[in-house]
Amino acid sequence: MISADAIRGYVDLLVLSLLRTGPGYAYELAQRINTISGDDYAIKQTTLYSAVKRLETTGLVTSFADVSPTGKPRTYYRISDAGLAYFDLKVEEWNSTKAVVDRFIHETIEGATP
Amino acid sequence: MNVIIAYLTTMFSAYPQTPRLLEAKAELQGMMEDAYTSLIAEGHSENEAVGRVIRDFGNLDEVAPVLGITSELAPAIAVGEQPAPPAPPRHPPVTLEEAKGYADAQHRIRFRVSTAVMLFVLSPSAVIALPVAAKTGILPITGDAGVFIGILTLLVLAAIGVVLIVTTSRETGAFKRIEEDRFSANPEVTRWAASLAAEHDTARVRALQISIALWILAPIPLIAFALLLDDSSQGEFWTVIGVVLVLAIVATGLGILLPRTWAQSTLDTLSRGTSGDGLPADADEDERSIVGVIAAFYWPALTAIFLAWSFIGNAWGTSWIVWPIGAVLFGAIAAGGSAVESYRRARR
Repeated sequence: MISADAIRGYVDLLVLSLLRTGPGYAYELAQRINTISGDDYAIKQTTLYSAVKRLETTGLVTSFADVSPTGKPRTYYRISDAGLAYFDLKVEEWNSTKAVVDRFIHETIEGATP
Repeated sequence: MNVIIAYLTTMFSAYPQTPRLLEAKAELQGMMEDAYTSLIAEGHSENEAVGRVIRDFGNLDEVAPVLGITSELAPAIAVGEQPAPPAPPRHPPVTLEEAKGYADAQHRIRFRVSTAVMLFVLSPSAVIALPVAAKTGILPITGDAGVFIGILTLLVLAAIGVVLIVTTSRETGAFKRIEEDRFSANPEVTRWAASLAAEHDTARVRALQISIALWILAPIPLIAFALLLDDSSQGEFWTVIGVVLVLAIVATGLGILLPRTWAQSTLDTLSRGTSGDGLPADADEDERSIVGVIAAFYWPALTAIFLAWSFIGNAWGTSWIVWPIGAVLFGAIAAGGSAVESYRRARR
């Protein structure tokens, strides 16, 4: 189980990657994150809500009112062009982050073996 | 679903009610509603669904910066999310899981506890009524047999009550640290308990009104029998029945009230840890717990003795002695109770 602290910087990336396939409302997004993450991570509702609001404030997603499949009025979120560009940037950042961390891990392991 | 809405309302009550905040509340409520509906559709019980939705809610402080408000609350400890702050010498905060288990246990044992208390209150009935019934010839037994059966009944009822109380410890055993106040309050848990108590408050207040009315009216049969019937042995018997009726009505009131106070007493217990530092505040609580239980039976019993003696023996001139003796005795019992309690605490 990944702790909330470990994934904090990447919740926005998860939300944007889901929204790339089409608009969605908050519960649906949380549900999809939990399904894809399986037992590795469970997102809290406040975490997801803060993420979409943060993205909306910075113009990376836009919101509109619609009705959910169960017939309830819900706020839907759609990724903007700026959001798509930001997503690519974030993916690049993640790849280099991963590469750097990996380099340390492997260096240390190699360094430890005589 | 009402529990969830109540939970959310209490969580938001700490913040100013701006339009932005109300919007956030509505959207979070929508999320919780969707989660609840889909859990129910998956075949989970209502309690399970509510528990999971609240567990997955998270921490409102996380939303605060996005909405441009800074939390004025002490940082709430999110369940299983943040490591506990470096511990000063105080008890670890109570978790939501523990609190829910404790509330569940209180809910499960509520009828056992109230039945036990009713049995304790009713236990002297036979020993009050049977000797007089025998003496006046209403029952074909001797006075001694009446006393014997009465005492036997008292002991049996008290034993059943004690056994009931003992079986409840199996349910509450896991929550010993909550019952013994060895925790510090957690704002999130206190808010959850407050919404639980609010949910059950209507029933509790109604039960309280009914039982108080019963307790006030309890002496009416006794007074009526004593004043309206003559001094014959029949009249004497009915007066004793009046005393038994007082006990029965008091017990009925307790039977109505006690099973409906569990949510409120859960809240009282869970928010009690607020002092958290193990200072004398909780010594008072402990003392109240032991001596309070004794007092709950002691004073009604003493009143019954006073009334029975006065009416039966027509001893209004001397029966007042019950009160000073009773008061001194109670002082001794209270002191003994506190001594036992502080001895037990010293050993922990």
